[in-house]
Amino acid sequence: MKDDAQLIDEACSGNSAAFGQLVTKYQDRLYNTLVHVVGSTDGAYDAVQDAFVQAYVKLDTFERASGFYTWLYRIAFNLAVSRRRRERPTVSVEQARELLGQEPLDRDPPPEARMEQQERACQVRAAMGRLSDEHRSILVLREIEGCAYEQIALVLDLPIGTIRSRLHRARLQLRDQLKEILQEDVK
Amino acid sequence: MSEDTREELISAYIDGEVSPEERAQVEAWLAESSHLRQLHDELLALRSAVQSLSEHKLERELAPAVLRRAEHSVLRRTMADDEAPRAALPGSIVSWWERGASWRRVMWPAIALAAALLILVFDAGRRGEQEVARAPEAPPAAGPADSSRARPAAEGAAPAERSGTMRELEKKVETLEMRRQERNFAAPAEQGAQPQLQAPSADMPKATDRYRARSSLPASVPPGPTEQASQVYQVPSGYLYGKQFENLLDQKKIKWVRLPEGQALGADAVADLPLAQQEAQRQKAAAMQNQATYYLFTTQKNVDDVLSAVPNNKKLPAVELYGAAQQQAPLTAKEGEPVKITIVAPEAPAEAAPAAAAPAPAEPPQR
Repeated sequence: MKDDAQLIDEACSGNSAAFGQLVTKYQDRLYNTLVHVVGSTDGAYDAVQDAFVQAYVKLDTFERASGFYTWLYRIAFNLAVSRRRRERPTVSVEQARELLGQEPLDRDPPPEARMEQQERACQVRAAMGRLSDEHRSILVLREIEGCAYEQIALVLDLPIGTIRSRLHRARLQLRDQLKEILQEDVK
Repeated sequence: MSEDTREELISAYIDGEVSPEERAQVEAWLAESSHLRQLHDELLALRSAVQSLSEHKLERELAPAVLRRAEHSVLRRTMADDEAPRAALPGSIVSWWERGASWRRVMWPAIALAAALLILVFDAGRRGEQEVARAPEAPPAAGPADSSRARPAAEGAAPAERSGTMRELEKKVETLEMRRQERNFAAPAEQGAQPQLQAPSADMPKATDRYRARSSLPASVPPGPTEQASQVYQVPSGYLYGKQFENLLDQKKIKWVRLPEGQALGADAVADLPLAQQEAQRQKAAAMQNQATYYLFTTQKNVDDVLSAVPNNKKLPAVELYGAAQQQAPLTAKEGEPVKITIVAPEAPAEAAPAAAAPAPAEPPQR
């Protein structure tokens, strides 16, 4: 199995199939993240495609200071934010239900628990949708992508100190929106 | 230290993004303050809630669509770069000669060159095989005698302008013909034999394979728009053999490209017909083998005006030439696409007969 650096070298030498392997490797991860950033599956799908196309066209400018996925994600993130600003979706709980993914974490809960789980997920997603773009983006990078602060700083092109403070404010905002759910969890 | 700063450190603490000193400080605070302990617990619960959101996966592979779009994007960019003055490039960009290994700038000119060579070879083969009985070409009134490449309408155009126009036309034709060859292979006629339409068989080399052997096309060619069928007109012999049709186009200042023969007739389309109709179509096609197909880079109205100037011309139903399969293809070009027409003459002119026995003048070697 070739690593990202080998695949990038081959793609830059004219082997487009090598880039195809990179697409296959990262498409699901990128898509999952962008669904949360953009707030819609269709928008995320388009943003993922656009991101990979841009990455392919600009591949010879990739300086390898960061990992390939970080660089790709930065392209995708900018596209997703632009798309969201253009579309400005308002995610109600009903709309959030439509964004439920295919694989709930708890695969075999009893029916009542499953309904509760889904309802809770809808509320969390709706609350995320009501955050500002900056707050939602940094939460997605940290909590869903699992990025370290240094990676987030590269993607967002911000100092680490700003990452720390912005992430905390984003969490406080989300906490305020989900007070009731969180109080039950804490108990 | 302010309360906000403490809370911020709590947040970084749960992420593991604190120094050892900061960690010790936070743990001391958590031991002392119930408020900060509550905040700590809420932030952990918040993380759990966000991470419990369902995972989204794509149902299909994106790679083919991505590579297709990316190749088109590179092609558009390369064509745009060719027209931009070198002086406009930022100083930090190394010239493409110095890049050397920039595969994109080598690949696309190679494809254009391969396409041009292919057109020349097909045209040379057609002349050697079919046109011995044709009357000698009328001496051209003006302009070059080569009919297998686009001729700009204005003979007096500056060379740079003409080459840019020709390159643009050739690229358009190359794209159209790439798509056509993907769908509609016609076996090359054997040397000296009447061209016979054959249903393609598995061991026949495909036109696309030959084409790809001469170029570095990607493995898959994207599907294009619904292919335009050719409008078919029967014209007097002189308009086909005497180049009168091409002269008329030049007079009307219509840019044109003539396609190599053997590709206007759809062998696949004939093969799709019931067996009882296939032989009739082959005979009819053999009788109508003397034909030429053009892409005219103009509007349908201008094409109609040109044809109205051709005496005794007769429009033929497309099904007579193509068969039922092609009857479904649109007969009119989409906006921005060239108009495709085929002119046919049922038999060679009588004055061409003596020339049939004469050796072909200065033609490339026959296949």
